[in-house]
Amino acid sequence: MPVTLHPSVAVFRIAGLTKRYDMGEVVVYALRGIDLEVFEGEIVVLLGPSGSGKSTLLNIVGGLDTPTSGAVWYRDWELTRAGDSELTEYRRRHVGFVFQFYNLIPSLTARENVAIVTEIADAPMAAEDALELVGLKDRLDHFPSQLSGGQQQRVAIARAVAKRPAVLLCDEPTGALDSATGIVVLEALAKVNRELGTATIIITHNADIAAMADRVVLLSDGIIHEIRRNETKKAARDLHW
Amino acid sequence: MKKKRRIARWIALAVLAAGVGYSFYPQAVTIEVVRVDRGAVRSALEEAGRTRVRNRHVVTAPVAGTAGRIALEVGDTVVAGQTIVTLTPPMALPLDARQTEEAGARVAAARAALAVAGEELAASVVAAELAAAQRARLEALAAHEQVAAEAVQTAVGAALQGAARQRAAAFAVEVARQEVAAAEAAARWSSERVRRNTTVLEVRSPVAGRVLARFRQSAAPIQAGEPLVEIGDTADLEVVVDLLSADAVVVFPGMPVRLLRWGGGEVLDARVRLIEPAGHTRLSALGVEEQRVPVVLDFTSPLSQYERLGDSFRVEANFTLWEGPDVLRVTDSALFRRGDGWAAFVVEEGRARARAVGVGHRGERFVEILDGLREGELVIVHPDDRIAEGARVTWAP
Amino acid sequence: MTALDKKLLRDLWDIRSQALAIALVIASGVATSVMSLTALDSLRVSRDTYYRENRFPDVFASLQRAPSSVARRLAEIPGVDHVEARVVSPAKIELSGYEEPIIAALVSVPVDRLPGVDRLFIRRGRPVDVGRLDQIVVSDAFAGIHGLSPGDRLGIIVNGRRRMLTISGVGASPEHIYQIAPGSVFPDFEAFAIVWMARETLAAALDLEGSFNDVALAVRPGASVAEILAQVDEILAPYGGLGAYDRGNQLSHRYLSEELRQLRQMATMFPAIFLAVATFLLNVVANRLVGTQKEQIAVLKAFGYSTGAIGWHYLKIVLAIAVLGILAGTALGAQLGKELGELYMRFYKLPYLVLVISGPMVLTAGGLSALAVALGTAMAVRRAALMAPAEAMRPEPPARYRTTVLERLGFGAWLSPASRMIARDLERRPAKTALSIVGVALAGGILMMGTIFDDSFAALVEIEFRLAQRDDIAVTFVEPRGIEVLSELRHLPGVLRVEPLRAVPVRLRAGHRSYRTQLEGVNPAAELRRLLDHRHRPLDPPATGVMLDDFLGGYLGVRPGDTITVEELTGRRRTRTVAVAALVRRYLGVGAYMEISALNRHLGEGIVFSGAALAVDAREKDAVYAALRSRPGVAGVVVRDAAVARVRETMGNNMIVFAIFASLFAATIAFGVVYNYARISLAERSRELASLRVLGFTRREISAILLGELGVVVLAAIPLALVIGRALCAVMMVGLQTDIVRIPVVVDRDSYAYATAIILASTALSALVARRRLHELDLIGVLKTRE
Repeated sequence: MPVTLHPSVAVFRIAGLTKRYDMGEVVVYALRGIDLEVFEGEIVVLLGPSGSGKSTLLNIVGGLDTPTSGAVWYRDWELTRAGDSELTEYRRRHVGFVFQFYNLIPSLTARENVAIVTEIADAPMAAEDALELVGLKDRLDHFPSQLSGGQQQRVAIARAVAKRPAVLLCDEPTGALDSATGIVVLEALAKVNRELGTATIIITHNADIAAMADRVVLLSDGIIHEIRRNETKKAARDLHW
Repeated sequence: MKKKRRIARWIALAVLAAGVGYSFYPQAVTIEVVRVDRGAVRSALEEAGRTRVRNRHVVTAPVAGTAGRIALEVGDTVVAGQTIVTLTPPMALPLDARQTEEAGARVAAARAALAVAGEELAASVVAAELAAAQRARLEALAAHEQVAAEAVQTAVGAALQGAARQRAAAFAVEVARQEVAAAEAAARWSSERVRRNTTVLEVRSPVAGRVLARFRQSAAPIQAGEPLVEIGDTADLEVVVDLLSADAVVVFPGMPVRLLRWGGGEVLDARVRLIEPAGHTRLSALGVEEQRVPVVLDFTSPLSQYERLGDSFRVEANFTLWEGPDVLRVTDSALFRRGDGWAAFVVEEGRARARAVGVGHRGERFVEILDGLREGELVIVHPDDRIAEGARVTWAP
Repeated sequence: MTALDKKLLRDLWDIRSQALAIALVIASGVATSVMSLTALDSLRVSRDTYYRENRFPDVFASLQRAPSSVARRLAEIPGVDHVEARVVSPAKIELSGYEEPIIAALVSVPVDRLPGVDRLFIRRGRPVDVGRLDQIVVSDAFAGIHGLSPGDRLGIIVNGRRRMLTISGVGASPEHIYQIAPGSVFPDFEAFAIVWMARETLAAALDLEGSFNDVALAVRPGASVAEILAQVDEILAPYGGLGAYDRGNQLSHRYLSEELRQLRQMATMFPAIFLAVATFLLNVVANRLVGTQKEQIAVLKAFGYSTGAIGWHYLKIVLAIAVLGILAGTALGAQLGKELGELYMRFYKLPYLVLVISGPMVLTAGGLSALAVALGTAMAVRRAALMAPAEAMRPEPPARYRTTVLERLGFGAWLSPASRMIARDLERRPAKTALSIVGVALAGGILMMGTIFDDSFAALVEIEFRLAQRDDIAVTFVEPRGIEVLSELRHLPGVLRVEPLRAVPVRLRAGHRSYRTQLEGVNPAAELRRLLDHRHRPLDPPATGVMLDDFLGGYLGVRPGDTITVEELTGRRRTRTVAVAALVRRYLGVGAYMEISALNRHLGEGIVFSGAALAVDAREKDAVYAALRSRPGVAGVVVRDAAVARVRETMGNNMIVFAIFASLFAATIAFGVVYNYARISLAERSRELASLRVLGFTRREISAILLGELGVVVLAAIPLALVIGRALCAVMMVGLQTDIVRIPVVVDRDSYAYATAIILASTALSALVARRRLHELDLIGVLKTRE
């Protein structure tokens, strides 16, 4: 269902974000001052090699981690000042996560994996509808052990979007899948973005995937090298790697 | 869906709470109960006693000599005048005037005693008739409840005494008569033996009855006055009970007594005739000294019921101190002390409630209830320290 | 130290809290074992030393009376070392300021020499002096309770006469370690005393100068005791001998031996349970450990470490935990054993305690524990050692789940997804779930044992002293008396009811079995003393025939309808066969019973009674005591309520100690099992739970999931605990059935609640401790790992 979008409204505003790890005698800078805005309804791909800090950035944006300095605003809420329970609330209501290794609950069926999240949401869609959205209507009562990697990831996507989050954060969603399956997954992400208007941030090290984004943020060594805009978004099925 | 789960959670909690609550809820204490009812309460005093032949007579040798063998055995029946033993005088015994005179004097004394006995008999007959009439009169009045029970009892006692005295007097007259005959026989014998070389003296029984005791059997020399046999009428029995002096005080003539465990099946009835005025000291079964007073009882049951009883047979006398045929009563094991009074646990709606109880007379198993309990209530027997006020109780049906 | 050993230490440190919990369980098991065995050995050695030093006799015999010359004939029996002829008598004690009746057993001692057997142990003061024949030695337990010391004077009423005697000393003898008044079952140091006095004095008081009525013999080692018993019986028969007996039948020795036997039972049963639980826990932990370290094992193997080396490495971890537990348990057990031994010493008034901590015993206990532990974890260790490297490197395939039984039955809608997670997890590993439930249930069962003992004992007291015996005072006469004695007692002011008693010592025989006991007369329609059937309903005695306690019936192998031989040991000493009419149920002592007039007829001595049961007005009881005390014909007076109260107190204290121990140990097991379960669950589900946290679940919500699983295990364990508790108790009680006492297994309702409450509390505590770990979930790391 298309929603009214305000592409000029910033969902995220990131300013001067720095993250430093002290590991004994060694100091590692994962992020060295990131400034970025993410707008409603857009697909942003964070591209970069391993160690570039893209995961760290996603984690902070998702309220899973805190920066050493700098700030992140979700709409008008300064995440970086929020406490743990506020962040939990934030993740509960506003963010959907998709992980590289799906992180499904193995003892719950597909439907239940989605239901476990919809039950704590305010105005979710039905679990069955979310799964239909990702094309798994006939696998509702299968356990993760009975689903292929791609199917599991799609369940994860359904789970992430079923609560109608404002934001979808995907960390290497196709990292564990072959290209054919990966495309299916990316199609699902694109469809969700289209139909629900969810701002989607996708992390990947695979440059081909970047073609389906609205904007591509190139990260390396903790700083943004370049932000490119894609004039035409490729459809997911047209990607190959 | 959520609602169902919430309901399920509440149900589970409720079940758990109920389980714990039920578990800690104190269990009912198991007890034994008995009902307060109306019935007989008998306050009694029980003591062992023995039968006694009322009138006994010891036949003695009237003179010295050699007594023959006594053929009679203990238990044999004798008739009045029956020869008990034959006395043979010693061979050489000079006769003198003094002895003859003595013999004559003895005869005279015996005759005088007979006269006295006769007069006593006459007096006792009059007294007995008076007492009997009084008794009859009072008993008739008692039938209309115009006299007190004690007065009737006293009259009954007096009547019995009178009758007994009369019988004793009659017996004494008989004895006296025989004594006269014996003295005359002895006197005759003393004088006759002068005429004959040897004479034997037949010692005869003055009364009819049975041989209660035999003091010698074989032929042997004997002194004057030595006992030969004891004769008594075993059909004429009384009972003697040695009561503790404290008990003798509560007993009165005419009091009904039941005689138990005498060997026959039935309970025999008797009445107190006489409480002797003097007590004596006796060692108790457990070794302490006690003062005992003999109390004499007369049988009131017909002779046919107790004719198997002999002399000095053991009976147990159960004195009715008080009898209430229809009073409110409860088993004595239901009562316990509370301060200076008594109390009982009444079962009300499955709980034990202590109640002060006023008790009256105490019988063997039951106690008279004056107040505090009502007929039909259930009370706990042998209450113990498990039972507190208000505790829940249960009992086997 | 090798690198592998360093790994060992660090691994141990990683699982330190779980290791500690398991070590605690092992320590509990070892401690119970060492404690019981230490106490047992110490008591046994102390008792044996006491017997030896104070010449506990080997053979005992009572008789009516015999001249002293007969003692010389006893000494001539081959195999007899010493003969001590003595005079004994029951007596009453008058203690100023103490109204309740006190009875005593008087025993004569020679004053001019040391006795050959049964020497006194003088605790305070001195033995009876040669020159002071009015002196006595009093049992120290009695003296202690009444605050008597050497120099005090005591009124002793023997044979109807009262004498004031001076206490020269306070002591004990090995013959009277267990001091039980005749007719009682439990020791009562307050109302019963042993008094030793000069032989001349006692003999004179009883008109037994130059005679004796009791004898004790010491037997040469190796001699045949049975032979000697037979010869003693033969010599003493014409003097009214009641039958000689050896140590095995001596009252004090028997009771003490029973106690030690029960202690031994405890010493084996509890440690077995603890070790079983500990083994199970170690098994689970070891498996888990091995599971998490699969890759490390693979690497080690790839680099050439042998199977044996790997196996030994993991075995060492397990043994390290076990050794920790064993050492702690041994130290704790030795200390507790010492205290338990001292407790028993004070309870039995043993003169001293020889503390014995046998090295071999400790080693055995420790070794067995270690062995059990090693065997239990063998599977896990073997798995570790035999894993092929390549396989070890592969990731675990995802666990297979299925819908649970509950859901298939249609209750799915009642469960939240979280509940379903829990249910499916439990079903997926039924063995682990079941064993955890059993572990907690065992803990609960042990907990229940404490309260069940208490309930059972209370039930025993209730049945014996509320249903069967309801008299206030029991009186025994010096000699049987006729029916006048009942009348005399009834006349005492304050006496409400009198029921006669008659008891004679007999020997019962059935086939090849015999038993020496009392044949008691029973009144039909009695109020105060009744016989009960196996359902505790009053039983009226039949007009003929004898009744037996069902335990005795079982021992002799007879049932109603069979006949037994009754051999009178006193009086006419006849032997007759009688039919067994019924079996009755009693829990204290055993005996044979007959309707009282039938008994009198059977014995042919006329209607006589040997005692009476009285119901007394509470307000007049002092007067009744005084009246009974002043009567020479009264040998003994037992006030029931007081005796029962004292028994309750003594046993009550023991119960409390036992219950505390049981609770502590049970709580330890429960804590250990639950804590390990929680930690392992947490470890296995950390990924899941972290994911849920990422998805926006609060900490409370995920701890609910974790604890929910725990909760199901515990709640399932509770009913099982109740069943196990009852079963454990029944097993223990069976071993405790003797002819002295039999305890019914009775469980009051509140025991269930108590056990449940403690289990819940213990598991809640350990769950909360485990839950703290939830705060340390690494939300980020979990997203990047595969498993």
